Amino acid sequence: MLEHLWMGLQNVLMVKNLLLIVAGTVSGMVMGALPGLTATMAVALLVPFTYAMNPASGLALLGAIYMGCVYGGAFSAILINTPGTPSSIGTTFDGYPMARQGRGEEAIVGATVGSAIGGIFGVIALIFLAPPLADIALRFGPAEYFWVGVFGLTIISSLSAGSFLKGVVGAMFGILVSTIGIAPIGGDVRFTFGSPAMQGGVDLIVILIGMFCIPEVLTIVSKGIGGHTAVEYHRTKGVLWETTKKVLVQRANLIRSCVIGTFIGILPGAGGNIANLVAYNEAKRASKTPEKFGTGHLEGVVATETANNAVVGGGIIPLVTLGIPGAPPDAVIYGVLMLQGLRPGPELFAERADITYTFMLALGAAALVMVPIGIYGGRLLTRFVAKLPVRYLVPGIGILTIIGSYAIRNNFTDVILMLGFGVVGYALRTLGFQAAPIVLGLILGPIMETGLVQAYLTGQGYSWPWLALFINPISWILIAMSILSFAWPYFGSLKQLFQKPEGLGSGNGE
Amino acid sequence: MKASTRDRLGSILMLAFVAALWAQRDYMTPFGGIFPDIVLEIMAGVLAVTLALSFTKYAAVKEAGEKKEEGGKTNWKDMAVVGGILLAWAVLLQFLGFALTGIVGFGSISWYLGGMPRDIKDIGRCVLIGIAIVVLMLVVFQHLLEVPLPPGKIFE
Repeated sequence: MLEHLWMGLQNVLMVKNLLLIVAGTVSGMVMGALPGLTATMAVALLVPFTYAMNPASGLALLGAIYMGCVYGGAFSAILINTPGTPSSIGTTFDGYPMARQGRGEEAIVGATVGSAIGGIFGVIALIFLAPPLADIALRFGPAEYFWVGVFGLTIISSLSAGSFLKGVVGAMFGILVSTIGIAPIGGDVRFTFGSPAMQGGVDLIVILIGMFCIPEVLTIVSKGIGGHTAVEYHRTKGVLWETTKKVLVQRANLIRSCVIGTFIGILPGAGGNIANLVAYNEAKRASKTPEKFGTGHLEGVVATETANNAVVGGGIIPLVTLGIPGAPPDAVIYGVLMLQGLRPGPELFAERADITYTFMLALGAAALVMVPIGIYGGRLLTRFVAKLPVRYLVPGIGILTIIGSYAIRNNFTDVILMLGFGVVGYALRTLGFQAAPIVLGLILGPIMETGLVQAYLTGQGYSWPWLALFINPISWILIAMSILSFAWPYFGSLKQLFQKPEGLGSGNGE
Repeated sequence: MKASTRDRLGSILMLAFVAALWAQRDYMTPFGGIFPDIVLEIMAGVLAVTLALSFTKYAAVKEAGEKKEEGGKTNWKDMAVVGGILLAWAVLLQFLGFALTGIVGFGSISWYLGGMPRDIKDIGRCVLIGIAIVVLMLVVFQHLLEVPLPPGKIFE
């Protein structure tokens, strides 16, 4: 293995490949920052550029785009409360409040350092843990995927600030919206209200853009501050080193988020969109100051951005070992491997190990390249957005939301739906329903439905078909984790009940 | 708005959504309805509980613990105008194309949000900025990324 690693390193350090990695990272970051352009779309858009390249260079370019794109989503999440990619949904929770408090640079630096650490961790896991971890993921059947979805939904207890019941309702609303269109099993056309345009379902990105951007635009406008700026900016001396130090001392948060990102990346079908929310939830639960989450807390930004970049390496693990894409952009990379005459799977290590390791190390190099480019580029962007008056920011976001929702499927109905979901999102927010549980339901809905119905079908041989959901021991582990995750916030309340009241001055952190 | 009113209004609207989907149920196979039916039933149950609780102490306790809303009054007029322009922009996109709707949409919102007194001369500047933004978007999306943007039916 060391011999192949060395060969891969030599390939990556070639001037041509290094330039491709830099170009790919920058392009990925720009595309990731544009709402509506997902990592999958960015990787797919640039596939034609790799046709004329040798496999190692082509894969190095795509890997760098992927890594840069996942990170780039943080810029718009932090600066305009719009996740550039679904992997940055959680980054809006604390990143945008930080930007509004004039701490945008701190959030960008935190996201950059976290992304780089997560990206490198994912690549190390990819290199050393690929075969054993992929084996565990392969044991997941439909029932286990259903329980993974249920486990994901237990995050609601943490995401639903204010009312838990409203969080549950919001998640169910998201799940139901995800069922619009053709059923994944059986092919039933559901809840289209007779419109053929709805048969393809509602695209997640369309809803994401609508529910996160439009309510924010309406809120900014409703404040009547057209001539002013939406985001504050305070120049802070030494923000780069101070924030880097603040991130590096969060060892537990970094390690936990890296592990979550890598593990979720390995699960086929689950990607950064789930990993960032799970990591945010776990960071909040483990924090000594969970009440600060959602108010502009650096730990939240670090958790989400570390996890979503760790997904990149994790998602490639099943791709290169089993030929199963871990996350949607990996499916595009799968296609490129096939185009280049390489068969994804164990043979890749045996027959073209040089190319495989070049690809892996290129991902690591991209994670490193992100740091200087992201820090300086991101800080410039923060200053630019902070100086931009609302009168230009609002139509600027408008134009991006329209392009973003249209470009996904070249469908005009999507643009109208995006606006419709935006208005619904604003109304729901006014009524106390937060966007995050709704989005979580949208993401987990299809995974849960496919798992549940497939498990039901496989259980036809039993006297009670639903028994299939409880047979595998992994299911029981996931059920136990879900119960624990659901009940965890209430343990804190119980503990407080049994604790003696502390004296004044004991809780000031000194 | 009071927390209890929000709970009641939110629950009723969501119940209407559940009812609308329930009325749409028309499955051709035994599998299409398994999952959505379970979710619809649970959601209706949770909404009933939320609605019932809004008439009890639960809502009042929450009201007391609530944070005060940020900022001052909501400017409904500006919100309606900008929302209306965005809607017109989206509806006219397929007929007038990205370039024309983009310039008019960007220009009109930025001019409207320019504050009082609105200067008619300011329109020229807003339109020019709109043209620059639209050209930039066309270059980036249409030419560099090869993402086709709608030319507009009347220009086809």
